[in-house]
Amino acid sequence: MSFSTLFIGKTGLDAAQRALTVMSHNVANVNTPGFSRQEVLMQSAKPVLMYGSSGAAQQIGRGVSIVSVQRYRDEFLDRQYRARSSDAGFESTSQTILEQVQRLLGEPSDVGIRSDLDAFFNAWSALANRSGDPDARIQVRERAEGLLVRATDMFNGFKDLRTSVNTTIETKVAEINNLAQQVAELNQSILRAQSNGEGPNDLMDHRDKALDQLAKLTGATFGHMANGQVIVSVSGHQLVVGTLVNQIELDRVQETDNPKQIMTHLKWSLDGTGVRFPGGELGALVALRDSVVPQMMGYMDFMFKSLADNINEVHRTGRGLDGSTGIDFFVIGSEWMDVAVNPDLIDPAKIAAASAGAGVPGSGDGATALLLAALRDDASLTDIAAFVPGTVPPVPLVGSRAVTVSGYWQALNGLAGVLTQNAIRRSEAVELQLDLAENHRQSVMGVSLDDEMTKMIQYQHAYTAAARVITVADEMMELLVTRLGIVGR
Amino acid sequence: MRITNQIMTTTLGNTLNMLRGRITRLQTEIGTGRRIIDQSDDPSGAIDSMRLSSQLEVLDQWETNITDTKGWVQSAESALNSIISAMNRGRDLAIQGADGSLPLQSKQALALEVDTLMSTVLAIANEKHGRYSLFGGFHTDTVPFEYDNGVFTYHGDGGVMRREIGPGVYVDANIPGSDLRLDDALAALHNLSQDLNAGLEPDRLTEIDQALDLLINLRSELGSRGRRLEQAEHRSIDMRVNFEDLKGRVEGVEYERAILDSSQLEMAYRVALQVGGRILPPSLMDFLR
Repeated sequence: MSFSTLFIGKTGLDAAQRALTVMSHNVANVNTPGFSRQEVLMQSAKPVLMYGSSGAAQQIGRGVSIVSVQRYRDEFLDRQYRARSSDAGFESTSQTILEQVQRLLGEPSDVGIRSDLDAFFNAWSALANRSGDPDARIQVRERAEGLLVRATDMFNGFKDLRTSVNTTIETKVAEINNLAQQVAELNQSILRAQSNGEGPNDLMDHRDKALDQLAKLTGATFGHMANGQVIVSVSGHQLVVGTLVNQIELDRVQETDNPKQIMTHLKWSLDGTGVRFPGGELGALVALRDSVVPQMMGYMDFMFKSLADNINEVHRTGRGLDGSTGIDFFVIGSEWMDVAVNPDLIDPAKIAAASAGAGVPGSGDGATALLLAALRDDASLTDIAAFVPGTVPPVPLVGSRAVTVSGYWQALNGLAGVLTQNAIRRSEAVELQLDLAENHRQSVMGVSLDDEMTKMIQYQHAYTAAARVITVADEMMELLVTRLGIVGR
Repeated sequence: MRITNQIMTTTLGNTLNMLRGRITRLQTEIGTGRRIIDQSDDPSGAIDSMRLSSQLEVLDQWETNITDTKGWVQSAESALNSIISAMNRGRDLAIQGADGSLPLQSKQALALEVDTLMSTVLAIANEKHGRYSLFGGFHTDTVPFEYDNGVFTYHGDGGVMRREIGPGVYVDANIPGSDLRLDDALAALHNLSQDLNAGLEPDRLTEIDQALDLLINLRSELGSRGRRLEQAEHRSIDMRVNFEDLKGRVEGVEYERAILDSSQLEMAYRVALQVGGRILPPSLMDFLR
């Protein structure tokens, strides 16, 4: 009887000690991201049957036993968090890149394509005032070159942006493969630990954290196998099944269509099909690299080639100071943004400011220069059907109306502005939802120091009390062993 | 809902971050004086602002063109004035010379003055506006008129230089020499001089008057052209004021409001900091011995 009290006291000591250990683990991890608080699950120990003096058997408690250490986690909240996290990854990445796009376009500003275009047309108007002046002619050529230099710089900026997005894609894919590998390895260790009954709470936290990151990167969805191992799928393709990983492979390809850059295609290593991301950072990166950014580049190309065509058409009809006629002002190539001032115009006399006709014009004849200046109001640019045969038509820019070159440039900036504005708004909204989902999740899994301190006091008291029980049992036994039966000694 | 330490810190962090973001944005707006810094701040406003900037820049060019054209018109006007007064003097001399009592010597003296007038008219007609011949038509780099022993030649052409002074509005800058009919004017003076030298009583008033009428008509045309340019200049100033005003309204910051907003935000930021500072540190630990 007394021995059993001693033993019951010991179970109390053990349980309190174990609870204090788990509590200190929680406190230590109060700021660890992805940590779920843990708690010792206790149960009264299996009772024994005792036969009392009445002869009837009676169940007698044998103290407390520890069932397991349990972690607080709600899978439903995890799902919500990961869905929001995938959205937030998509929107904030879109926002960052679109902000770069609109900053590249660089309007509204006093130094940009807008003002260069105005200066170019104004130079023609000024040339009409002084058509015999070589410097007025050189001015026109310089303005045209200045405009093209800025446009080409901008275009190259877009090319660089695509390349840097591509590099980011490569880096992030490496990260995804790495995380997938981690998940597969954790799947194995967790299964083994579970079958040994080890309760791998912290390993499961690690796996959940890797899944959080995968959701943010890829917009992946998650499932469970019968044995509790995790399946990760991206757009119907399985990235991880249990301990198997279907890696994403990189394949650098030279584009055959404009803008003819070297871009990385992503393939599943198992069957070699292309990888599509339903969301997440990668979803945004791929979409922007393959649609929005090249579309902007195509619009720029169309705008500058249309401008060059329109100027050429009028310029060919005019005459230079030396009577030359039929000369193009711009030379236009087939590559995107391959537009340059005709090198023949290095002789400024060949700039056709004078009216149509034959022979050497009077040096005060600026009739064609006036016509060229008037092209600033020539609304002849319309939407492009598609940049590349077989691809989807781009976002409508100017709709059914025809616009001037400046109008086209304004519309292009307007479009970039609207796209960015939408991305910013969506990103803000989704960021709030993400915070909310995270708070809900934290409310279940997060460590609250107040809670832990309360538990600390509780278990400390329990420990003290159990120790006291042992002391009492000890005293009782001492009484039995040393003081009982002194008679006859 | 169970609130953990992490929830409290991240919520406070988010609030402070949001407020800091808005304060920074307002400070940028106040600093630059612009409401639209990127296209996304207001896409349609950005388009308006670009359009207005373009309109202001083309207005600059039109104003330059107007000033340039005014120079041409004024030069032509003053040249015509001088030619007209020379022709008027010729007309006076024709009337004087028609006096039968005038001795031959005096007539010859008058003829001499007529000759001088002719070279004056020729010199004025060959005047330059800056580096350009005033009456050469498109041939601004040649001396347009030549007169030698009664033989008159015009080296210019009938080219009329047009200038852009408004949206689709053009104005002629010059009068080509061929419109002046200087051949007739000089012929009238030449005939007058020959009559006088020969001691005749010249009857050249009709010829001179014809030439004068034409010149006076041209002068009044130049006058009305000058008034048109003045009007265009005024209109362009009105437009500039209008566009500047619109542009300011589209992209400018309303300072009163921005400053008010900014002080409100600062207040909110302070409050958040203070509240955060009060609620974050204490936990049960502070009350345990």
